[in-house]
Amino acid sequence: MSLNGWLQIAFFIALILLLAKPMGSYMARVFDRRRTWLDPVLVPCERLLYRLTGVNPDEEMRWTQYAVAMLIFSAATLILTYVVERIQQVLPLNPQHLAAVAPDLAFNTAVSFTTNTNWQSYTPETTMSYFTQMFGLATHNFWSAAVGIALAIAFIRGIARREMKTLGNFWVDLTRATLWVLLPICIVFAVALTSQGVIQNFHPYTTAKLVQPQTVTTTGADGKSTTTTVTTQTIAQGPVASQEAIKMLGTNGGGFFNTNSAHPFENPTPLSNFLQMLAIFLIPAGLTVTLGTMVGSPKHGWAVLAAMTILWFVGVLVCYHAESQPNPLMHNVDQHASLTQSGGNMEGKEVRFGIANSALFATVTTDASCGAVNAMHDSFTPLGGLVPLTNIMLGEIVFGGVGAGLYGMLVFVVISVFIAGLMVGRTPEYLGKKIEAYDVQMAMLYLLIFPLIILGFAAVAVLMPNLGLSALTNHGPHGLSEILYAYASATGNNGSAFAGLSANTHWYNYSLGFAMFFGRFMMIIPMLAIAGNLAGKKIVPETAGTFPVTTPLFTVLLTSVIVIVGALTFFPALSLGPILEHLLLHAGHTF
Amino acid sequence: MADLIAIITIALLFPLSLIYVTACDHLKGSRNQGNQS
Repeated sequence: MSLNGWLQIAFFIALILLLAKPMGSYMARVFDRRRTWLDPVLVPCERLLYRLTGVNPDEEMRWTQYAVAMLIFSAATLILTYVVERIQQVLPLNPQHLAAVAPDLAFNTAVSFTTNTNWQSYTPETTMSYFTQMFGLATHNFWSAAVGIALAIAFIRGIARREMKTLGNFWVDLTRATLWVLLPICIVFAVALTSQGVIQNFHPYTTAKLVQPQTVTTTGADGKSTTTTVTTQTIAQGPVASQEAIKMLGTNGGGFFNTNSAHPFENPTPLSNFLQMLAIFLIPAGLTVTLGTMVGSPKHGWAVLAAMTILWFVGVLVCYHAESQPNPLMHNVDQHASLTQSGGNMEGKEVRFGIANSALFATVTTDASCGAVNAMHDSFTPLGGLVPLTNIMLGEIVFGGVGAGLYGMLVFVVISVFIAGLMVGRTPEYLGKKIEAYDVQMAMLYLLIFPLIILGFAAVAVLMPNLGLSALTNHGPHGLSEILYAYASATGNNGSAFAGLSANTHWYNYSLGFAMFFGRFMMIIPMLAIAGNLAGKKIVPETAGTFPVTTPLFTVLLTSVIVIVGALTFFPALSLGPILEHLLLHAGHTF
Repeated sequence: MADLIAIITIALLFPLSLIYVTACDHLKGSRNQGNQS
């Protein structure tokens, strides 16, 4: 670890904490339908959209209506994306004449982008046309992020409202999240990215002549080796900047290119890298301030943000430290950091980002449900790889995905105040609302579905050699980590891959598709049920026995509950994967 | 055929979610009734 690295990390979090208040206050104004400086341009667009779709913006929805509207919207857009993928060969903007996407892969990808996961079982530049990338995938990046923000706002209203049956209007929240929050920032961000060299064009791929021809030996399915001399390279092009902006801001993470943010056309400079990380945390950090503002307790928002920051710091500390360590199996090699080398583990990392920015990116992308990568997590040290895996398994509530992170965190808040209530033998209260049996039942449903899907599917994959294990390229604990990571990433709607798993098979396409679907919608519904139930409650006056949710004690309790629930749920699986691999590495074994 | 499987799968997943919404809502209704009695 270096001072330079830590200064960059400190600058990053300082900027996020500084931006949280203006961003959060702005979002509170947007969703309270108060006046903003963008109204003169956007209000006419909003009215036109409601008129065209027949939406009455003043109609309020119960939580069940809100959930059904969200499901109908998701179903319609999922089917649309599936159809676009299947007929892309006859659609415009396909200069490479790419064929239709295979049905199982189209299903997986449509579910993936609908659920804000952006798991990619394919190589984008050889599979998806420009039209599919823009109309099928980039638009979904907006929609799924806007759905997440809308749901978080609905949960906040559930806390803030008293004796009401409704949570707002899904269509209004969706529209305002897209028009007022995502689109304006993305336009500015995309222009900033192009200034750094991110490409934006519709050109056919470029064929470049290699300065030095390469000899490549490949082994066919029959075991025969063939040697060929490669003299040219195909360089993929495309409308990258416009997709990159929402990919990061919407915590979607699906890359235009296979190597995602490690590709020089997608993330060319340290500054573009910094802006991309900033974009991931911008809205999730701001939403904590929105929470504080809308519930009338700004300190509560800051207490939640403090818990997120603590957990983020632990993650980045462990990951950066682990990646800075020399490889214990390379005894006679100088691995110390110096002016001529980075030191530590540089395998799978871009030299233009180095260890600090790779460790920070990996932590940030998995704290949030982004899933973009600028280094290959599969090549991290076992403990370095443990951090992204653990972040996902905690439910991605450390800042978290846009909206999804906040409502996930608020479910943990419900559990924390419930535990605090049990400790003192009183009915727990949260900001004046009594937390009762139904709220805790729904919170537990939310918490239990998550590990059930991850561990259930991972167990089936491990037990079926022909389906699950045949796609592995590493064996032993590292192979288990790859399978665990895939299902955690899918269920947590993260979308990053540990690599090393050839997931474009019928089994993985369908099982990961189901994991993404259930991980999104089966968790949203109990969360909305809690919100709907809280909205209908009376506010009880604060007494000496009320557990305050604005103090450092609350932050410590919340952090502890998250760690304990996460540890109790996933520690056995993690001990067989990355922890065992770490111990065996120091005993001289690699996988 | 593969398209049919994928579309049927999608078509089944969303009604399943609607049943789940109804079940969560019903759980609250039955609990409230229990409390009243």
